Amino acid sequence: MLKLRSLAGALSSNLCRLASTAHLDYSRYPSLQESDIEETLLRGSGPGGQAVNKTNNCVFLRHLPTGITVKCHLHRLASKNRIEARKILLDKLDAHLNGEQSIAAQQKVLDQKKSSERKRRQGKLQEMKKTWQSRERGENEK
Amino acid sequence: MLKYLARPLLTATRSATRSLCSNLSGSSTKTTTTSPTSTTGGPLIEVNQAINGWADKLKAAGIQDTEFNIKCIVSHVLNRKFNTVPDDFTQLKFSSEQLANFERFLEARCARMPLQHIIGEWDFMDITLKTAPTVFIPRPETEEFVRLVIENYRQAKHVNMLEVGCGSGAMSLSVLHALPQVEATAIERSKVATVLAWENANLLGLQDRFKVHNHTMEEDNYMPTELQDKQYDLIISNPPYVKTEEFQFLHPEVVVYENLNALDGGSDGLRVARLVFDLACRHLRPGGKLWLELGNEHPPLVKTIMNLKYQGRLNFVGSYFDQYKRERFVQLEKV
Repeated sequence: MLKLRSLAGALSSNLCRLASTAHLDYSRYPSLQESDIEETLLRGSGPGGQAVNKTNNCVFLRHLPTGITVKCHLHRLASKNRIEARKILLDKLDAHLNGEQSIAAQQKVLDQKKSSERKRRQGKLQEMKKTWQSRERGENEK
Repeated sequence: MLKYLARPLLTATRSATRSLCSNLSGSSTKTTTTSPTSTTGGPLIEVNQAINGWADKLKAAGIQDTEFNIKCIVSHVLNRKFNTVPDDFTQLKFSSEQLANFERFLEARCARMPLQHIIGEWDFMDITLKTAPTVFIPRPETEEFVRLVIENYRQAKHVNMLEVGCGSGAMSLSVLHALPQVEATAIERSKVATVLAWENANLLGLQDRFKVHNHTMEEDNYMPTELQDKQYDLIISNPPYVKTEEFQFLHPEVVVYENLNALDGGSDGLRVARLVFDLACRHLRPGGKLWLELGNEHPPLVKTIMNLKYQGRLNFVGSYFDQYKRERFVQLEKV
C-alpha cells in the first residue's frame, strides 16, 4: 500500500502538477477542542422555536487559549456557519501555531512555485516564438 | 387573532401579499422567457445602486438583520446561490426586470412577509425545501432536534418512523436524507402542507421511502384508516406548542403570515402534544421511542404528566437542550 502510494505520488508529480494537496504536510495541523471555544449564536432573548421567525445566520467563535476570533456569515443557515466557522478557526489556529509550516503557508509556497514555473515556461515559449519570427523574417528578406 | 393586529399593518400586508402572489404565480415563467431579451437589451443597474436606501426602509419597518435580508433577496433575484454572492455586491448588475422584482420583494419584506416565503425556499440541515404561504417555516432549533434524532439512530438497522404533523416535510426528509435505513410515514392536517411535503420529497428524490397522509388527528381518531393497525419504531413530532396567551407578543411574520394551526398549543401549549402521547400509546411498538420538540417550560411538565397519567404505557427517558441552551426536547419510551 505504502509503495503504491509513493509510486502514485511520483507519477502524479511527474505527469502533472495538479494534485497539490497530496504534497502538503498535515502532521502539525491542530485539532479543535469544543471546550476551548466560546460560541456566540444570536437569537435574542424571549421565547425561541415556533414563536419567532428570526433568520440570524451569523456565528462568532472565540478560541479561549489563543484569543483568536472568527466571524462567519457565508451561508444562509447558522448551522452551516457553525461548521464553516470551525474550519476557518482551525486554519487560523494552524497559521498561529505553525507559521511557516502551516498548511496555508505551504500552499502559498507551492502556488508561488507553480506560478514561477508557469512564467518561466511562458517566457521560454515567447523566446522561441521570437527567434522563429526573426528567422522567418530573415528568410523572407533573403 | 385579528384583535392583536394593528389595522394599518394588516392592510399593508394584505396588499403586499396580493401583489406578491399575483406576481409569484407568473414569475418563474416570466423570468425565463424575458431574461434573454433583458440581458441583451435594456439598461443594467448596479446592485449597489439599487440597494440604496432599502436598509433604512427595512429598519423603519422593524426588521433587524437588514444586510442579510437584502443579500438573500439579491441572490434570489439574480438566481444565484447565497454563498456565491459577495457581501459588497461588486460588479453585480440587475436587468430592469430584476430590479422591479427586487423592489417588489423588498416592499413585501417591509410589510413583514417572512423572508422564506418571499424567496420560496429555505435550507434545513443539508437539504433545501420549498416553502409555501400558510405552511409553517422550519425553525433553526428544529435542526438541533433532528440532529439528536439522527445521532440516536445512526447505528440502527431498520427504522420505521412516523411523523405527526410534518408541515413542509423538513424533519422527516432530513432524517431520510441522512439515514438510508429509515422509512418514514407522515400525517398532516393541512392539505397545502401535505402537497408541499410530497413535492419536497420528490424534489429531493426521497419519495420511495416517504409517504404522507392528509389526516387531522383527533381523540379516538388518531390515524387515517389505512394506518389504523400500524406500529412504528420511532415517532417524531414538533406539535404546536405556543401558548394561546403568548400570541399577542409574536412578530407579524409569525402571527400574520403563518398558519396558526401549526403554532397554537392551547392554554398550556400541550393540547396537541397530549394527543400525540395517546397516539404513541397505540402506534409505538413496545420499546419504541417518541421524540418531541416542545417549548421552554414543557419538559418538566411532560415528566410530571408521564408519571401521573401514563404509568405503564409511556416512560420519560430524558430531556435535551437546543443550541441556544434551552431545555426543549424530550424522549419518551413505550413500555
